[in-house]
Amino acid sequence: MSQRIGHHEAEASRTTHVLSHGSPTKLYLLIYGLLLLLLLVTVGAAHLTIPEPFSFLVALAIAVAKAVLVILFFMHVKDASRVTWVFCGCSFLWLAIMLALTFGDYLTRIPVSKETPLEQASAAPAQAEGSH
Amino acid sequence: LTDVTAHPAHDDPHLKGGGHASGLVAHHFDDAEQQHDAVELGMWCFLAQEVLFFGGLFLAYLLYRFKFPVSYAEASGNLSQGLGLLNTIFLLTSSLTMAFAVHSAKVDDKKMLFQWLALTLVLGLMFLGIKAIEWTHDYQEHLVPGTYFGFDYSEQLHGRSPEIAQHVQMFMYLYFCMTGLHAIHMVVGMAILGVVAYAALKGKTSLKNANFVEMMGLYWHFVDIVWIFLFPFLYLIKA
Repeated sequence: MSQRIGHHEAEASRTTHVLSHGSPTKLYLLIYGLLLLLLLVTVGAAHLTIPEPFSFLVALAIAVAKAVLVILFFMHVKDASRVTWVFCGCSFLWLAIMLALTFGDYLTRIPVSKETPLEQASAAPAQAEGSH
Repeated sequence: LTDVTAHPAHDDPHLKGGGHASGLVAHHFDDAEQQHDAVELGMWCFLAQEVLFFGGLFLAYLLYRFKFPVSYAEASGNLSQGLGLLNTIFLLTSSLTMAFAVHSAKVDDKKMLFQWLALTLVLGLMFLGIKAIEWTHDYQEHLVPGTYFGFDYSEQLHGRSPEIAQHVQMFMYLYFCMTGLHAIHMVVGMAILGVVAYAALKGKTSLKNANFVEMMGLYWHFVDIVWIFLFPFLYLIKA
């Protein structure tokens, strides 16, 4: 390799090699296998008779596990700088804040009177679903 | 960066070399590692914005899912789990081929880079092809929300309450918004992928720096992650 490339490219090759941490083929195939396994688990879990909030939580947990695998290994956050960890974590922290504050409102709403617009809006779905 | 030690003048950071001479490192960076970390951080800024961009749709999805659980299960039954599963396998595989493409770029193997990128592109096309088949089916079955939304007249829901049909329509709104926004991201990713694959095929010098391919990989993996959540949320709701 070094016979046909010049000095500059040899320098570049060394630079990129240092960043690549050797051959990751086995690691990538392992992560891919785990992702396919988790995919089968999530399809299998969907066909079990688990009541609604829990079946959703199972699907969510498996999806989060798959996402973590992709982020850490395919997206190389595992080997990334600390500040990249912070930025990656913050994106999901902000998402969690958005979800937590919104659900903190919706899940704690108690119908006060039939006349409020809030109650009128939620009355029809409550009847249709036969819940709440 | 260990290659710094190969240079004698390691006291002055500006004399460390680190790729300036080859044009790989822009003049305002000390070395290739600093440049790589800066580029990576910038990409994660963009991806953090994307997380919240899709997050709004996921928020709407979750609110209505817990408000109308029965309707969501009914609506999800209209989607093909088999095609959804097939598409998930396509996207997970494309993430693997993209990871190999990024590695090929890092070791400066343009031939393998082109092959992995081409494979990723084909898998992306197959994903969009399946999506087109699904959307065509949804259109023919009057599952597209709007004036001609005919779910309440369909056989599955014959005799059910009209509210459920409305909530099923709400699910389909979210289904088309979420899968549509995801598909737009796929198209954008594939356009960039195509340009880089062409450059790799021609052995363009602009690809000497692997950072661009790596950042494109981050984007592609992000789009894959969105689908990792979309598949069970949309296709796998049990009645």
